[in-house]
Amino acid sequence: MKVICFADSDYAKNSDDCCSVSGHVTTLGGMITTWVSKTQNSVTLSSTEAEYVSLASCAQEVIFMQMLLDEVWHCKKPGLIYEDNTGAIFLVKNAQVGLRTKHIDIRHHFIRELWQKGLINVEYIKSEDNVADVLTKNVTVDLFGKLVPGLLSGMIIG
Amino acid sequence: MGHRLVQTKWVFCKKVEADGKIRAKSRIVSKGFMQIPGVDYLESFSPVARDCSVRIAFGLALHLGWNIDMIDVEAAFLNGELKTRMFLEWPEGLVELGFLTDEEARTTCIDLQKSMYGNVDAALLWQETIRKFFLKIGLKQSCADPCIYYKRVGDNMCLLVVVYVDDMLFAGPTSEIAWCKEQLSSEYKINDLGSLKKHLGIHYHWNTNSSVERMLVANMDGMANEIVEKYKKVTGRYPVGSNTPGIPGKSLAKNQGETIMLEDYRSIVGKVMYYTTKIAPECSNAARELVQHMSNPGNEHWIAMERMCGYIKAKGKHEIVYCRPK
Repeated sequence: MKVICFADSDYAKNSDDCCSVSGHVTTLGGMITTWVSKTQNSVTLSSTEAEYVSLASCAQEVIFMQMLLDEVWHCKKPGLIYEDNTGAIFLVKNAQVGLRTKHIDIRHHFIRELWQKGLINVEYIKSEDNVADVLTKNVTVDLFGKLVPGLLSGMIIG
Repeated sequence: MGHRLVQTKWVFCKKVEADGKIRAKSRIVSKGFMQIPGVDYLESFSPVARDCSVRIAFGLALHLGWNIDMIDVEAAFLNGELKTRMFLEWPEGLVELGFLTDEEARTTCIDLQKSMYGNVDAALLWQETIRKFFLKIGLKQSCADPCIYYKRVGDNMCLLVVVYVDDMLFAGPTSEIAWCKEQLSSEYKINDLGSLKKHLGIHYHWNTNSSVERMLVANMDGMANEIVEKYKKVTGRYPVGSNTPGIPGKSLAKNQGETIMLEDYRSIVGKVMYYTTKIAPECSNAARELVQHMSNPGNEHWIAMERMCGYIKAKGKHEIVYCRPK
């Protein structure tokens, strides 16, 4: 049994202060455990950065679940986060400083360390298959109809 | 050293039980606001189990084929051990009912032996009491979530207890659950509510007919109905049904005009949030937008509110399913 999550963000969504929105769904082996939709605390400069911030907050939840599970029983590691932005995945797996990523706050690099320790892995998922999409924006009726039944059915598989 | 006398108050309420019956309750509470911070109490915060932890307990129970049972502790807060001495005035009505003479009521007071409802730190003292009890019978407290207690032998987990103030959930094999209940009832007065049916306003049932795998279904039809009816009560009509909780492609901006029906807006948003965090992940985004405008809702926001209520009205089944984790 391991922790599997879906993370997404919507860039500069808030029209008043231009903050992005983080959304994530965490599951315990496919069984939904938490869902979060939250405006981010600071303005980000690119959608990749916004996704990266969302990954970091999702990682916090994963670590909590792993801690609890390890205490009472056990859980397989690494936990898995599905993410639809390849740039953000690249940032996790490559500790480099680029022109457009040099300013990213240290606390968001939290996820990079977790990946290096082997506690969390990040994998790509197509945007239209990412259930966390529903938590970041008001999606169209079609997409809603496609993603939501899975969300409520009790078994979410990437 | 003198002590301040704390007054008391009677609280009467009607409670709807799990079977739909109405029970009239009365309880005597202290006026906790008369306690002095730093003198009568130092700390008052008391944690409750996170939703995530509760669902993890469900997941483990489904995975291992365990039962989930529920109990509540009767008058739980009365078990808390007081840390400082506390004196109460006699409750109202004792003289009139003849339990006490006028003279006694004026010259004597109550020397409280245990904590009671109304005290600022009542929940905390109860939490500490139950913690000591669980540690005494050999359970461990989780470091990740202090409201989770567990028992494990070697690599095997035997029992999981989720404490939500005076409600407790047990996940484990029948024998372990029975053992723990027995231990508890030797110390406290408990109501054994049997298999999990209702917790925090959410109804649960096990779905075993549709497939081989056992599933747990959480249902909140009652709350959904309450939201729709409240909307009707404040606006005078039912919301128009819709397929999604938010208007596709739109997001709400700050209200520039007049504030419209602030109190009613807040009241409905509160209900919607509860519904969303407990069983409706698909409403999270729309609910987040509604919440952000709690201080100043305008026309736009009431349109978004109708959309949300309309979605809930049209949704039909207000359920989320928990399947066996892979």
